[in-house]
Amino acid sequence: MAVPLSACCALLAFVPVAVQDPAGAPPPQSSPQSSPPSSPPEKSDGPPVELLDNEALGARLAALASAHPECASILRIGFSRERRPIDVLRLSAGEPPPGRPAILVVANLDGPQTFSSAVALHHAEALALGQATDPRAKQFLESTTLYVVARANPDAAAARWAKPLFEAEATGTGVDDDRDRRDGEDPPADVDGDGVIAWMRWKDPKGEWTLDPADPRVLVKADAKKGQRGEYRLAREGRDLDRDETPSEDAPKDAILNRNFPHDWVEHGAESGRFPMDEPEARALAEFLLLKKDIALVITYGGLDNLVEKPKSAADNAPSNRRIPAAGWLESDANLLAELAKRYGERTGNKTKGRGTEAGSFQAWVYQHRGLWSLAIALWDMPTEAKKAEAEGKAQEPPGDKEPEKSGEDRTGTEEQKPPEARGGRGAPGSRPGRGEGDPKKEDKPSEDLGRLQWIDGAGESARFLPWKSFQHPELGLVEIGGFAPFARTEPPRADWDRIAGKQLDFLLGLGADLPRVSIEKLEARRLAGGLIEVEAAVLNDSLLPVSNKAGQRADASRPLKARLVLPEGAKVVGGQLQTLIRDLAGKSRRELRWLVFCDQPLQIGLKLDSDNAGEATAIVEVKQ
Amino acid sequence: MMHSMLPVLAAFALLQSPAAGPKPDGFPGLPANHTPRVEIAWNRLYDTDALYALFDRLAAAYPNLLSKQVIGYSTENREMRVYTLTNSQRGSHEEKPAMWIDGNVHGNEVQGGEAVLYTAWYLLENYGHNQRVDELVNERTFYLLPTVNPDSRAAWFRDPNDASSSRTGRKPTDDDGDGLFDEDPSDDLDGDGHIVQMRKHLPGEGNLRLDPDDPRLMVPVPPNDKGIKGDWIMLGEEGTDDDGDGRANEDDVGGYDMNRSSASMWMPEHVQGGAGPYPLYWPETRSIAEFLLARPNLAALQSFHNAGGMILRGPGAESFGEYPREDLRVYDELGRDGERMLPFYKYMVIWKDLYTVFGGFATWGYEGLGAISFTNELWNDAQQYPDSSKSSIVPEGRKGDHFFNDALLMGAGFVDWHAYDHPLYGKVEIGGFKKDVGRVPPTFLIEEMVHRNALFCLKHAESMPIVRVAKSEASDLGGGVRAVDVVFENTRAIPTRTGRAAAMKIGKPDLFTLEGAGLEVLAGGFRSDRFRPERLELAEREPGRLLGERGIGGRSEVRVRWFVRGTGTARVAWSGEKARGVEARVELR
Repeated sequence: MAVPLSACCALLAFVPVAVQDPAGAPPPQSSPQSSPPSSPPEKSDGPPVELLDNEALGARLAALASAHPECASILRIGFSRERRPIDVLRLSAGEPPPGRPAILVVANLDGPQTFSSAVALHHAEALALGQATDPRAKQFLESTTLYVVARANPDAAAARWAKPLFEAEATGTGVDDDRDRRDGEDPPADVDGDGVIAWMRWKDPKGEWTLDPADPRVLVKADAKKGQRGEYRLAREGRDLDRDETPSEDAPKDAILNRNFPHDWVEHGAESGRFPMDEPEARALAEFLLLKKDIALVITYGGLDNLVEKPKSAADNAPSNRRIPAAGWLESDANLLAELAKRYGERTGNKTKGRGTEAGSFQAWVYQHRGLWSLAIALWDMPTEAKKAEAEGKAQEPPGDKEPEKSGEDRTGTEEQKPPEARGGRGAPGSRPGRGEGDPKKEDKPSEDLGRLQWIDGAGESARFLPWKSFQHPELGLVEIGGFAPFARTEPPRADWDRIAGKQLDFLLGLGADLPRVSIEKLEARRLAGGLIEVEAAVLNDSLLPVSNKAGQRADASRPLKARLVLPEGAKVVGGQLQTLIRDLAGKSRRELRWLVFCDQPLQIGLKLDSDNAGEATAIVEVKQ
Repeated sequence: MMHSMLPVLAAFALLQSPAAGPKPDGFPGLPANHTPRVEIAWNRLYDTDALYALFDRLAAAYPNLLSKQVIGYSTENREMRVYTLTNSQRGSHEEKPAMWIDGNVHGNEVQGGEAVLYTAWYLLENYGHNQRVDELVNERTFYLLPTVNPDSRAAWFRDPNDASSSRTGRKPTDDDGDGLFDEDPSDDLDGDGHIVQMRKHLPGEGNLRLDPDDPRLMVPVPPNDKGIKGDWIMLGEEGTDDDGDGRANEDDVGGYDMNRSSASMWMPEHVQGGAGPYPLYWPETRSIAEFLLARPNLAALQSFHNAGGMILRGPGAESFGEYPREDLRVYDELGRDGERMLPFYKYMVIWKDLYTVFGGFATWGYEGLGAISFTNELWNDAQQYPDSSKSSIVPEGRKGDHFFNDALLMGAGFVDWHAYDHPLYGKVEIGGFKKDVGRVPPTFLIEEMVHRNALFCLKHAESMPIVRVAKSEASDLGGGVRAVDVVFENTRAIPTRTGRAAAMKIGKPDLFTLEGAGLEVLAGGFRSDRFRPERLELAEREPGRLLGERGIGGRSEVRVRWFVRGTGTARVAWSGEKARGVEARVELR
């Protein structure tokens, strides 16, 4: 399929009505230390991609809905733990008819992924503005409903605009992380008063880190095989208020929203919450998904990915282990996901892999328990090597795309060098155990953090790394404070924003046509003899995706497609079921149905198809005598 | 200790019983001269309103011991009521170890409600007359929720039902996937107020025939090559195809299971039927979880169901593995005593001896909250014929049920087969046992059932930890340094922190402290050897404040040694979530 970038560009050509932010949100890059500053924005004709705080984002969505009542409306689905509203913007050309399939876009569910909100807002504005003039946007909104949760985790996002600046991940119930019967007594803090909660490293013979010989800004795990001994400890910047020789290890909040969903929920994990859907944001999103049965597909912009890296899969009929189904995507669904992934790669060129765990995530719940398509997209991560010559990247671009390769699309790894020692071994805030660590094949490669610094140096993104500065810590003595700046790994360079958002929108618009839609391909009735009539029908799904995927059939969470004969008074079915429930109708396939009806009058016979998220259809025929 | 308490108790008893005067000791099982303050008939079952009203009468009669709290609302907006039973003049409910008791999560399993009520009544009526009851009321807290499912309890009494219907909650649910909700329930076709069975006479075409000795019963015709066929078929539960989809009774009210909704080992609907869209989805389940999560003093939990005669513990699923050994010791001891106290009941492991249950409530009580938790299945058919020496003359199976019904209930429990003209099946017969036969006991056996189960709960409650300072002494090590040795003892079977709680870091660790003006704690730690004081697990920091993740085991001791400089009074103390805190003083001169 040719990549219809031209259509996308046409869409982007509509300059938006500039919606002023009534709240007067501070510009995101107000201070060089309060965010990872970037190169100036690339010139673009499209709607601006803007990183907005909660108030400004809410105001923009509200303004969009009031400026475009014909296609945009807002539904408040709940409140965060700190009572911030969570809103859904619905985009649809007019009131959608029953059964019209919908896509849900969820952004900024992972706290640090504030940039994803900018992309979601961009989608909403581009579609609402383009609806009147751009044929592709118009066609999308006339056939598909789009729900946008531009910011699913407003509490975490608030930290992006707060002082001191902090990359907050946890927003929910706290635990006594260090098991000292004091709750939240030693949180991360801005010890040196520079307005940022960064990282601290200090010499300690109990440490497990050592300086990277290639670049002393970087710490690597000491490797005894290389004759190295641990000499540094590393932690989030903070005091040691409980004087247990470990700073910043007991924050008042621990539960992370995207660990609080039921699939593979980790019971008693500090970050899991007390029970699945305990966090109000999780429950609000879940209840919305349960309510809106028109949703056939969910896109989540966040830390996880299942389009660049294939998810684990299991055969459709893989046996359960003591009743628990085999882990991963069911093979048939995984194959279709791979097709979507291929299109995604072609349209966006994005090669960002995910990081973090699927356990307890929204993305996993949507597919595994609700049986809906769940696309996990990681928009950007900091590259782990310096920008290369352009030729290499170009081969990956779809034909016809004249844009130069952007550093933001470089392959990024998942290795994580942040300290796992805090929080009783549950990993420091913001850190995940790295998959690459301890991999013998990687031993002689530069560490991923070193690669990131090389990228930073090469790209002139120096604000993403705070130089280590000596500081006399009140409890620990001499320490150094610095390291990767908050949001350095989640917010791409400013110059890349418009392109990333535009390409994601292009992919989204293409997906509309892939959603299942049923039609009646054939309906025939003929009189066999006397009052006996044979009725034959064929139900068609002419899209890529099936009416219900394998996980959906397994979960039985969506109601099946219903095919019901409509007969006049006096007629009755004498062969077959008046009503047939169709649970399985693959993409590009048809289902034949047959009935015997008894009626001795000349008559018309109708067939009605209805579904929650695969369309509706009705046909009527005269009985051939 | 008990001595100092007696005057208070006597005064309290007078305060509580101004009219009746002191009640005779030993009411439990001793019937003479006993007049309870609140008379409750224990030979019947009560619907939701009546059950709540009886609890309210108890609360009115014993205002200092029983208080009502509404913790949420059911699907049909009924109150979710917890009655807290403790003598709050002897300390607030949250500073004492607590036992949770509930019943009737399955709406049809009604008698759990009466068992909860009886437990409250028994404790209240005996308070002030029995030392063990006094300890339970003074030193323990009981959180009593008489019905987890007040809507379906109400419906089970009010509407036509059978013994198994109204198990679910009453949130409309589309069981058959046709987009309609609860549109094809079972139907009381003949309007007699009962949902029973349907059978049809098909001479020479059936698979059943009438039992020649009792035509109310049907027996299967054995498979044969002789062409012998039966004359009857069964058509299932009374009802018809209300929605015209070709199936009968396939979308009844609700259609889910609130005992598959808890967070421990919860699995989705396709793995665990009835689980719902996510854990604690229904308001009843969520209100209870929120209540319990806010009560770290919870140390014991009991949930009442019916039927079959079981004392169940987890795990609910094989993949969990097994519980820690120290906790199994407690389970096995209580389970074994339970088998003695509850004839025809068996102590069983849910997944192994019954069936797999993901997301069960009582398993969450243990796996999620770290409290020793049981589910009892009340009433066993064998209790109709308790004398095993007569087994050779007792009819078996349904014949036994009929004999019991005919002989001891004057046949009241059975709707005799009678003709009915069915819209779908033509001429049929409708009949069968009524809803209050089979899963609930007959009137005259209810009191025995609730008494034995209540007393099993009280045994469980008595096993909750009680901590005391068994010994505290100082020895002079010279140079102004003294060793303070303290033995903290848990005198009861349940540990202050279960093995599960310790392993999963549920709640807070126990705290062992020494402090005193003018004293400096130089070092301290837990002793691992009675005879060798140098064997110490030394604290790294804050030696006056030792943290014990494993708490104090059941009927066990924890020995602590502190090294102290200075003179004055050393206050040594233990505090934890599951028992009252204790302290002692050691003079260092």
